[in-house]
Amino acid sequence: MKIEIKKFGDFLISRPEGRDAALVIKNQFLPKLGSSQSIELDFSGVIVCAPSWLDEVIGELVKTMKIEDIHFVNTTNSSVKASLETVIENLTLRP
Amino acid sequence: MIRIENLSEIYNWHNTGLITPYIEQNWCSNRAEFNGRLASYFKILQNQFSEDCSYLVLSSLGEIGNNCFDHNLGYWQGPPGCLFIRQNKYALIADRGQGIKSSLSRVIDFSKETTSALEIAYSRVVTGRAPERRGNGLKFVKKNINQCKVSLAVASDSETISFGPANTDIQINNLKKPGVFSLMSW
Repeated sequence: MKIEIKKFGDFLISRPEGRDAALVIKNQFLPKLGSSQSIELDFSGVIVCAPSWLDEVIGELVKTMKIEDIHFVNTTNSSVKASLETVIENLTLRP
Repeated sequence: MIRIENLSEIYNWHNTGLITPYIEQNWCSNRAEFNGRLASYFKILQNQFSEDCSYLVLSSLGEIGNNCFDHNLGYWQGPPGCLFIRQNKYALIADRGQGIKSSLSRVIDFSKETTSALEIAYSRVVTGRAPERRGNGLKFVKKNINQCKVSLAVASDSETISFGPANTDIQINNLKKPGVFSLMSW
């Protein structure tokens, strides 16, 4: 399943907005996964992303799936790339 | 050397809470207002930085500004909100909330800690909103400003920290700092 992140906005900064996005993904997208165990997060069209927003989304996803099953595509935007690095690195530091 | 406009007014507001027309003009009373002003700042940053750094600086300012609203609920020392001054060569974000040390004191015993609260905030994955799993943002900011050769001076709770060369006329030690005061310059 592919989720187009730009459909949540192109300016992804705050935790409250990230939490809203995470709840929509959890309640409306993940139930449609079917037998597939992986999803693709497509960041094309995103202008700015910050780790606070992304942490809420990925933090919710890893409650029910492995990080290896989340595929990140079109991540050339420097803020998307840096935020992904920060969030994924810190996932391993969490209890 | 970059000159910070209306510095005495900013100092006075930060120390006393006095809101002048200049402060009011640059005031964000809620997160949505801050994020709206941040988005409109993007064009200015695009003229100042490479494409990559314009995104990184904007997202770093977003982290700092959103921290004002994330960490001060119930602790504002006056009207809720933050000052957000957007200029060609610098951006200033300041609040009159509880300050970083007060926030982190819920998870760190500063009587046993030799490292300053600001140093901890910018170097460790730790948050005053534990047990919520947070604490990435300021490390992200530090990494980005180093990469983009931006200077950052921060004051809070009588502590200061700076990264990069001192390139402004600001005397950040003169502040009484009843919250957090962050100045990014380039």
